[in-house]
Amino acid sequence: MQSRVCSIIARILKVPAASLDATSSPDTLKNWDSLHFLQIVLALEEEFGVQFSVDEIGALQSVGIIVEILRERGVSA
Amino acid sequence: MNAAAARPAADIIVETSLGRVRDLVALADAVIGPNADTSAGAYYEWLYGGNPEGPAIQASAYQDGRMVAHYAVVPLRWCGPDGARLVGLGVNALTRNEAQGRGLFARLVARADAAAAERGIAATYVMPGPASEPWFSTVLRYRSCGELALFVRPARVRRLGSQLTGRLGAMRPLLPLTELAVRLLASIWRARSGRRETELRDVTVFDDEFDALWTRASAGWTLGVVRDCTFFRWRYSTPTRTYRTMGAWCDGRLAAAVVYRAKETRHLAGGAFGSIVDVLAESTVAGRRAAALLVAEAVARMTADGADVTVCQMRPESAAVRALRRNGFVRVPGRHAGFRPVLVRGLNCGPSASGHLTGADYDMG
Repeated sequence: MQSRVCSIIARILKVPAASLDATSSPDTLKNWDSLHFLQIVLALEEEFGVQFSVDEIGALQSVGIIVEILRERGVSA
Repeated sequence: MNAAAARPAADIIVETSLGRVRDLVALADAVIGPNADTSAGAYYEWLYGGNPEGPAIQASAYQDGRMVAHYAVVPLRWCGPDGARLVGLGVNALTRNEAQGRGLFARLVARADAAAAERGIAATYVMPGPASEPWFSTVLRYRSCGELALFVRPARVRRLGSQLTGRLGAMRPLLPLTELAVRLLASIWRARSGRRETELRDVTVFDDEFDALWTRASAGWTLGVVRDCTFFRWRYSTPTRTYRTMGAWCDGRLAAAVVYRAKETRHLAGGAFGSIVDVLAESTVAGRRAAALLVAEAVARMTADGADVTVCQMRPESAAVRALRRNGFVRVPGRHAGFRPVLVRGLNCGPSASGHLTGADYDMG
């Protein structure tokens, strides 16, 4: 699942997917601004067939956390 | 505890008190730069604390003891198919650069909206800028209720033409003639437009005549902020801007009113511009004529104060647009700095609903 998440983020932020790992976050990716983050959220919802709550969106702060939240939502790899 | 709840990005405080104005001013200065409105504590005291419909619900995010984001919902009365009701206007969406991209804005809106609902404000409208509009229309599930369009009227053709283009070449000698023609046509129109039967006066006291005007003007409307005398008294007595209101009386009855920003021409693309912020008219022939005369007078005054262009943001479906068009205003097409989408949550109105909205309904100050 992490590779799928990284692939989405890489496509939106226009960075190599290989440069992303579980610790990748707004603190490590300078392109991760408000509008790019919204694009990431919407792409994740479409890719994994989920709808995040506003509080969950506020928690999507690294690749690792995104994967963890998706697992909690019952999404399988 | 799940992962979402375990990792809050910042502490969010929801309140109605004005105890954090200093933090708010610092945040606004950092995000949008110092300006007459959001840099002044008096602005928040007026908008958040002085509103006759009740205090604003503020949601502020703190990180390491510093306010990093803010959003507020200002209660206003809204006219709907079932009569007037309380709604919230979302204002002052502010997020520091370093706090962006973390979903903080959406959390603040959700918290403020929820707190507003607990206070009986179950519906909200916003006229967001390009940065926040996508959030409202996706994650926050607001829906479209039309738009505010920008209407523009050149006031001094020759000066504006020279300033804006500087490249008119062979056209330059025609500018004085164009300006002369515009003035001549305007004077002919004003002479024929029933000026003698209509009395125009400056208004400094908003009394029950404005309640009666609102009742006559808004018959059948299903959308818009209630503009009675209480609204006029509060909305146009801001501590940071100077507004002028003029009324037009026909047969002793207040038939229309116009509000414009006085002696505050701002500069854009090399030209100074003045703003008409509201036009309200009863839906009669006399009301339409009175509104057109008021707009003409407001344009003349702003031109005398130095405006090269007069602008007005208004819902294109509003009946008052006719008064703008009769005075030479044209709608600027497309999406630009003067365009604003109208997005609502909990309101049963769509883009085709009848009603009235202007820039004064979101550009608070």
